Amino acid sequence: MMLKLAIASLWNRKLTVTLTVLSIAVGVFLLLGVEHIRSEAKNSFSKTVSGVDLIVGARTGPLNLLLYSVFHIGNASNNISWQSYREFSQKPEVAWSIPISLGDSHKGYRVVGTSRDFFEHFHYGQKQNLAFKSGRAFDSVYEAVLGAQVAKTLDYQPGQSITLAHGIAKVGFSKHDDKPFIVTGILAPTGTPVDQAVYVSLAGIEAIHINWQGGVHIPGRSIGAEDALKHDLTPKSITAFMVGLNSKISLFSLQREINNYRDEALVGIMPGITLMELWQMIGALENILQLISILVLFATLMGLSTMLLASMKEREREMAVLRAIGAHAGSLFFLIEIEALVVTVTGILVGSTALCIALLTARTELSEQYGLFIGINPFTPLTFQYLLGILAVSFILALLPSISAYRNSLGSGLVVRT
Amino acid sequence: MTDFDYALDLQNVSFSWHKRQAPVLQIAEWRVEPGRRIFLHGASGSGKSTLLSLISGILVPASGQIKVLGTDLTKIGGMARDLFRARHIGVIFQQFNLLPYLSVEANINLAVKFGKRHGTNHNDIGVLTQRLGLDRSILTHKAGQLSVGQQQRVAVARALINHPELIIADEPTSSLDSDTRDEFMRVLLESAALNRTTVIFVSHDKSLGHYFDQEISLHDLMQAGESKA
Ligand SMILES: Nc1ncnc2c1ncn2[C@@H]1O[C@H](COP(=O)(O)OP(=O)(O)OP(=O)(O)O)[C@@H](O)[C@H]1O
Ligand SMILES: [Mg+2]
Repeated sequence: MMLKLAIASLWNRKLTVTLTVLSIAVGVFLLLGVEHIRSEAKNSFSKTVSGVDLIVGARTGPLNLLLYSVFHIGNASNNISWQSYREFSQKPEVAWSIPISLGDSHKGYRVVGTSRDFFEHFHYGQKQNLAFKSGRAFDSVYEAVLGAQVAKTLDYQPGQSITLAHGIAKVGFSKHDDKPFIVTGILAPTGTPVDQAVYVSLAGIEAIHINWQGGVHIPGRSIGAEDALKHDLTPKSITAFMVGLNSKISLFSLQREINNYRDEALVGIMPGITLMELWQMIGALENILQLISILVLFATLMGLSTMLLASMKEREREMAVLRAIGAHAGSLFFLIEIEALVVTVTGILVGSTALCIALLTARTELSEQYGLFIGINPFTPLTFQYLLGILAVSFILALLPSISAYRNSLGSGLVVRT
Repeated sequence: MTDFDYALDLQNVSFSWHKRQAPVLQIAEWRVEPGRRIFLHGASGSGKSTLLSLISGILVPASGQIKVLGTDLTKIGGMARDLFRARHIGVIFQQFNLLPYLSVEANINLAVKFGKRHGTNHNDIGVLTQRLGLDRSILTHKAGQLSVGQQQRVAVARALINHPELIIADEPTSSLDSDTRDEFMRVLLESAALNRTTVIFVSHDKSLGHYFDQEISLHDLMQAGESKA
């Protein structure tokens, strides 16, 4: 009965109540959103690469190397020579290596030049192998493998012919359209940046750049796709490479060796450690965001309490009527508390729904632009603790108007003095 | 609940709004027999509404005894007083008797719920409103949309729904025009007579006095007490 009464009374004050509900919804949206993205981002970041002991690239900040080699964010400032790669990949302590050559794209998706070792040795998540959803790895020069998301978004099947574009802009203006590639396989989804790329052989990358120099097509020197095969397609340089070791014992000595390499300025990073550094950087920011969102929510709940308190004056008659027909002063206390909780619960529902919708719409954007893979379900046991906390705070803050209703109704008679 | 000699039995009642102030109300003795209809008048600010609040158990006196229908309200707890009021006393104010955002039926039903009279149903409410000269279709209307005269009749319906033995009315006609006022008085007193309900009616309008068994001014009530004391 009190719940019905509370809802009817709130409905009678639709405008202010709606505004309060919306402000609480915004607070809930912020808090849950920050919390969700925080945990999902951490999860998503830490599972992008696994089982890789070292990533080696031209000397640059470790973070930068990690970002462009694994997350496909940003660009390499320099390449490394094929000789350096050969030298390190053939060391006895190295079990396997994956070369990576970046710089081209297909419809906005990065093209990664690599070797078949990539499909065999690259791991993500809990040491999970890459798997083919359909088709097979590339074999010859003009063959390509698609990440799951690329195939899905562009609706490609094996057998599809694609052309690569120079550069990574979504609308590459210089195209390698004289040398089309055939899709031979599509990878199973991984929920990592692997899904967002096109994979071709290093020879393929080399072939499409034969008549190019410094990023520009040299006019008059067109070499057909068939003719290109007659050239030596061994790359002269690559962007980076990943290394797996036979034994972790050699990890630090190899890293030192790479960092002190005389012929070329190289840097070798341990992806796990760099991920953690990245995480710490982002984590500090996210702590601040979380604190802000908690404060915002607190402010909106104070707003709720203020709204209820401000309404007490105009509702004196309502309270007097309820008292006259037999309501206890305590019932009025609970009436106000119930109103506060109804508003809060509605705010929570609106906020969470909005969050789900927002996550659903922002998902593709986040994964394509930032390599962040965010689940669309923001509810975890922790969120429910948060929501209980919000209800508790709302209850406590609503004590003020509730107690005021209680005391007023005890201290005044039947008739409201005007 | 029938074994009482007086519907109302006040002894040495004293009440003040603030602890250190002189009491606004001091009544040495006031007894009202069951079924009597009392017209209480008095100067503005003399304490009529305060007295009704005491009788209905919303306020408690600083000292003295207030026996309503044989129950001493000063001897029972707050919750018990509230339930007692819900079940045995019908209250009608000058205005704003109803929650404007609820339907007429919901307003009346609220009194049923607080009185815990589970037997009362939709039809009882319909019959009662009809008897008070209201159309049944009005039950679904929002109370706030009714005319003042209609609202006051709904207030009577609500006051009567739990079959109270006592009705207290605080200037219920002062916002009505003379025609609706006479109609209101007729409806109220006829309904009260039906169950021999005791009525305490407060008004400034002495022309209404002829409807009642007894007219008394609060001033006299307090004086009577003093001379007796
Ligand atoms: N809630 C309250 N708090 C403090 N003092 C009050 C309160 N209600 C009434 N009073 C005071 O108690 C006194 C009696 O007021 P009351 O309302 O009972 O008079 P009344 O006879 O009903 O007047 P009226 O005819 O104008 O309705 C007045 O002096 C009034 O100022
Ligand atoms: Mg009064």
